Amino acid sequence: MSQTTTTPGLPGQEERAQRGPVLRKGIGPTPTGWFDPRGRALGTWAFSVNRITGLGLVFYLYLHLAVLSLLLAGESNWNDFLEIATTWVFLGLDVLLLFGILFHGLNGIRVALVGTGIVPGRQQALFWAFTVIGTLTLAYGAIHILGSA
Amino acid sequence: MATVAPTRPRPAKRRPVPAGTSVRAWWWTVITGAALLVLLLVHMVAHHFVVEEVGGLRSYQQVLEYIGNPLIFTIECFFLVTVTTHALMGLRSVLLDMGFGARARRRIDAGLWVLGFATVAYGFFLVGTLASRA
Repeated sequence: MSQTTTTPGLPGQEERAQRGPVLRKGIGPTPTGWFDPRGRALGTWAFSVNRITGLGLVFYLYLHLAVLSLLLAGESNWNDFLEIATTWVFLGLDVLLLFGILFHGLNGIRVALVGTGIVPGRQQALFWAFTVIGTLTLAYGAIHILGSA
Repeated sequence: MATVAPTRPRPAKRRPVPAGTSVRAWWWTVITGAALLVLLLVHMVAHHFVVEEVGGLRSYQQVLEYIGNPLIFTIECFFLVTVTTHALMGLRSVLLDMGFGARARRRIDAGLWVLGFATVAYGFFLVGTLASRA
C-alpha cells in the first residue's frame, strides 16, 4: 500500500490521505470536483445535477435540430419519425427531458435569486420549495404525455 | 487527532463587487436563462400541450402551418438564439472548470463562437425553409 508523503505542520494530512469522499482528498475541491459530490452539502449535489442536466440539454438541443432536419426531407420521413416518437419508450424519454428542463430551470432560478442578492441566504428553503413545484409539474406533465398514448 | 481544515471558505458578510469576463458571462447566462423560462414555456406548451395528437407532436402539415405564422416564426428564431447562447455559455463554464491554461481557454472561446454561429445559421436555414413551404 502506497503512503502519501506528508509535510509536518499542516493539519489533517493523515485524514486527507485516506480513501473517501473528495472532502478528504485535498485542500478544496479539485477543478472537476463537481463530478463527485459525495460528502458535500445539498447545494453541491444541486450544482452537480444542474450541470449533468445542462450537458444533457445541450446534447438534446443538437439532437432536436437533427430530428427537425427530417422535415426538410419531406412528409414521409417525418411520418416515419412520428411512428417511432409516439412509442412508450420515446414518450418516457420525453418525461425524462421534462425532468431535466424542470430541474435545470428551477435550480437556475434558485441560483439566480441567491447569486444576484435578491434572496440571499435562503438557498435551502428555495431548493425545497422548487422541489415541490417541480415534482408536481413533472407529475402533471408525465400524466399528460404518457396519457396521450 | 488533527482537525481537517475546511474545504470551502466561509461566506463573506460583504458581497464582493463583480467584475471581469467570467462575471459578465454569468450575468449573460442569467439573462438568457430568464428569457428561456418564458420562451421554453411557450415552446413546450405550443408543442406538447395544445396539439391533440399522441405526445403532442404535430403532423408535417401542422408543423408548416405553425412555423408559417409570422409571430411564431419570430418567437422561434429568438428562442433559437437564446437557447444556443445559454447552452454554449453553460458548456463554456463546464469546460473552463477543467482548469485549462490561457491558450486553451482562448481556443475554447473561439470554438464555441464558431459552433454558436453555425448552430444559429443552420437553425435559421431550417426554420426559414419550413416557413417558405407553408
